[in-house]
Amino acid sequence: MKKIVKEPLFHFLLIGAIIFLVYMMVNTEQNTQEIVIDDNLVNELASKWELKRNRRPTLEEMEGMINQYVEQEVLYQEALTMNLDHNDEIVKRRLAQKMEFISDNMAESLQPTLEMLESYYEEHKDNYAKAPIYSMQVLYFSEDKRENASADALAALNHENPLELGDNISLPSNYKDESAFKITRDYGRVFTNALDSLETGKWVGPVQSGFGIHLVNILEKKAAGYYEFDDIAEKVSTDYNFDASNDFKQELIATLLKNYSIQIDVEDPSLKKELDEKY
Amino acid sequence: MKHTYLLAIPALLLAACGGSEEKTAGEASSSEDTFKSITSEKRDSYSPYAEDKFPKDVYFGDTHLHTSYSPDAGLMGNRNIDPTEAFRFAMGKVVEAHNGMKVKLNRPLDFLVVTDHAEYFGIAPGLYDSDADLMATKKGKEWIGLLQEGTDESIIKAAYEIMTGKSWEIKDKTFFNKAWLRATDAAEKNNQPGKFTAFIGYEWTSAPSGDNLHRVVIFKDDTTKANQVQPFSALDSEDPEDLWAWMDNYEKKTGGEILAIPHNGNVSNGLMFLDKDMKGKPLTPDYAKERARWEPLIEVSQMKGDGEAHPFLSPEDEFADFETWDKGNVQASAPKKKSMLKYEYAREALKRGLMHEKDLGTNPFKFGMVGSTDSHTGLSTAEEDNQWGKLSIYEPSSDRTEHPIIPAQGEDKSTEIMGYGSAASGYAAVWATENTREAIFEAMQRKEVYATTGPRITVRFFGGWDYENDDVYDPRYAKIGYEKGVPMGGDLSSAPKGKSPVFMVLATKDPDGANLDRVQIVKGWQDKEGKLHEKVIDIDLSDDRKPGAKAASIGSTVDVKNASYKNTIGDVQLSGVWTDPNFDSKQRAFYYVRVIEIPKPRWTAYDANFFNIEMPKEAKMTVQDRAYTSPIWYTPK
Repeated sequence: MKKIVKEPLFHFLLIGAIIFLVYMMVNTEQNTQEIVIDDNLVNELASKWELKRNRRPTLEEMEGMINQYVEQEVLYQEALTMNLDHNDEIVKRRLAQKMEFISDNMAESLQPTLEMLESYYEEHKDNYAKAPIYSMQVLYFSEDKRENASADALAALNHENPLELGDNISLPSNYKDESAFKITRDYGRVFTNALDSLETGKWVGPVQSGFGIHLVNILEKKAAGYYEFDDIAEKVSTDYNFDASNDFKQELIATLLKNYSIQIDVEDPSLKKELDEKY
Repeated sequence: MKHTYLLAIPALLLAACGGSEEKTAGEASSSEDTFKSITSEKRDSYSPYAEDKFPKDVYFGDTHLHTSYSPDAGLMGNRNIDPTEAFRFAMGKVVEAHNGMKVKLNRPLDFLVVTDHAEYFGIAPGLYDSDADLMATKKGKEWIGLLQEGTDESIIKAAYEIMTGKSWEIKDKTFFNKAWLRATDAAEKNNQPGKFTAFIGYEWTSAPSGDNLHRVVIFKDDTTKANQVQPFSALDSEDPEDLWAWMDNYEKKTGGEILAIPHNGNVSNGLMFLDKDMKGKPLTPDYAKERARWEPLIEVSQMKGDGEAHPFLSPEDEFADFETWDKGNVQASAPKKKSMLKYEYAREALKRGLMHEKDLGTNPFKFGMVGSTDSHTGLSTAEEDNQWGKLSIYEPSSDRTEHPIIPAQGEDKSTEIMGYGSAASGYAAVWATENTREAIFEAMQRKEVYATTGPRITVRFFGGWDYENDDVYDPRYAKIGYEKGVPMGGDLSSAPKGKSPVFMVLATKDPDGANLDRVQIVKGWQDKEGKLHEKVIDIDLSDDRKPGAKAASIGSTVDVKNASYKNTIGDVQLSGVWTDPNFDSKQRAFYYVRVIEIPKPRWTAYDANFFNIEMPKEAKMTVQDRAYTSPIWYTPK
């Protein structure tokens, strides 16, 4: 027992109990509060029960639920009266979370119209671009097999038939109407990125890839354009909802922030600067 | 207008030809001989490619990824990256990680299986959201309370109870069914045949006494079938034979198809490839048949270490010690004994499989190999310079390497692996005819797959009796490969008299990665006395080194301090045709390929460079990433 008396936690609880008792005594004269038990409540409890167990509650079970409800309500009201909700980290977090859910639900409930999706599609058209389509020949100059692959490639440009001069590699040397997506899979990103700016209709290079040096002869490059809205409407809708719920939350917070003035009183100068800029 | 008109002409001509052809065929049918000659003429196409049925593309993906729906992931930092986000990331989208940084893959993946833990599937988001169905259960309410309390102690208490439970504490499955439907729906919505394949899957997380027996379970099917079941979990049974029975049941009930991939034999403390079942009985013919049926593959490399070979088991193999995790079991609750190792590593299991096959009639360990990440961040990253860690709390930060990945539970800290011991590994490579659920799943079933420890190395491997030395230089070598033999994962038997098997290998570097050091064949066999052997043979070496006696080291261009390297050593492509000089047609054997890259900075070097920190002395700072193919087996008739 002696040990317990010395525990700080024990003191804390003791003080808490005393405050509580004093508070209760002082506040007994206050107006009695109302807890309403009506059919609305009964129906709500019953349907919650039914959702989980697939049947209506018995009379006994209903009494149990109402009893629980009354207990929870009494404790809740008292906690509010005692301002226990103020500055409580958990309560704050829960309420903030609830607001976030409301925001998410609101965003979700704002089902976009077809027009909204179409204008979203127009605004973000780059996300729906098809990879360009190439028809081309590729020559390979191996750095493993040659002293100076770049020089050899350059020299080959002046040859009447460069096709005779390349090295073997187990990758396609000919593409007919092939998407840049597939060419990237074969030759890597560096190579496909370089294709973008090359002249068509003649042998050009040297072009670098992860494998070495290349000459390419782009016979035809089709700007593949964009996927039609109708073909990818579902994807647009997914992307829209993804962005919308993020945007909605940001906007909601920004709007609400206007009702607050944020006082910044911190010592650290770099932190203060950051915060001042932000708010 | 003119153009349209012109275009119509060939179409008209074609239509005319078609008509006359039909007529000819009709006339020919009166005489059988003419008919035959006409049809045989029609058979051959001028196009050499028209009749090709073999896979021409290799697809890279991850068969093992966790999101916020896995309790351990969700309770240890992964709040936001759910299955949908994980699919978006794998497709190459930018995602915001939990440390607030933006993250993106170097190149999109071709496929992904999101495999959240079946045990309390999806519970973490449910607890954070105070889901009504969880609130309605006693334990659910208690855990929600603990999380809301929000102290380290309360969260750890809840997480510990959830992750170490041995049976369902929440009997009502309403919530879990809901979560499963959400997860399968995410796969369904993100599956884009031909472009990106999103599989439905989950992980069965059995770990009796902390010894890892985990399996990833993958469905070939869509939601109409997968939604008819709820994942079979380790809380239902820890015995893999019960999992296989459930899988059998699933296929019978739905007409669907399903397979399982075990992983991390290296932290199973001698359990993964043991010669006994869970009841301690010797393996039976039935056990071998079931295991071979349901588990065509194993995951041989991932963040929790590499399981191809161990230096203790393969002392002759200079590359055997790679991302080795041999300190204890998966919960760091029991230390490793040397005697456990032979039941943990793939090469040894492949050898022991030959022995079992002789005794049981079926080889229970006849598996192909894949790599995957087992990342719990929802971010499928396996590259050294883009390593986002095992758990969201271990996303890039200046101190992530200082903490144990799995803390030991007692005084004995020898079982712990520290953060720097985590590997940036790996991916699954699949030779499939197209990028769809069906084609990739079927390739997995026939084991035409290989493991990479991160880079997208391309490897072809064929075995047969008649390959010529220069077949590998033919631009159509793959066609020759299939015509004269079998690809990786295949079988050879009944050796023609006096012939030895010939193997054709061709490996190409990752176009955005490091050059290749060497290509090897690993052979395992059982001799007349029943003894098991292995040998690693160099098939082709870069920089003009010749196979033969022990080859000189490739050297290194790595600048650890600046986390950089140069492709001035090594080769772009290595290849060879090799005939086994010590073949005995009466002995069981297997052959697989190992491709090794030149040294690169390990992810720890990128961390040290980015955060400007010192790594502990024990941390490895360079790495030679690699690929392992599925074997080709030889079985005497």
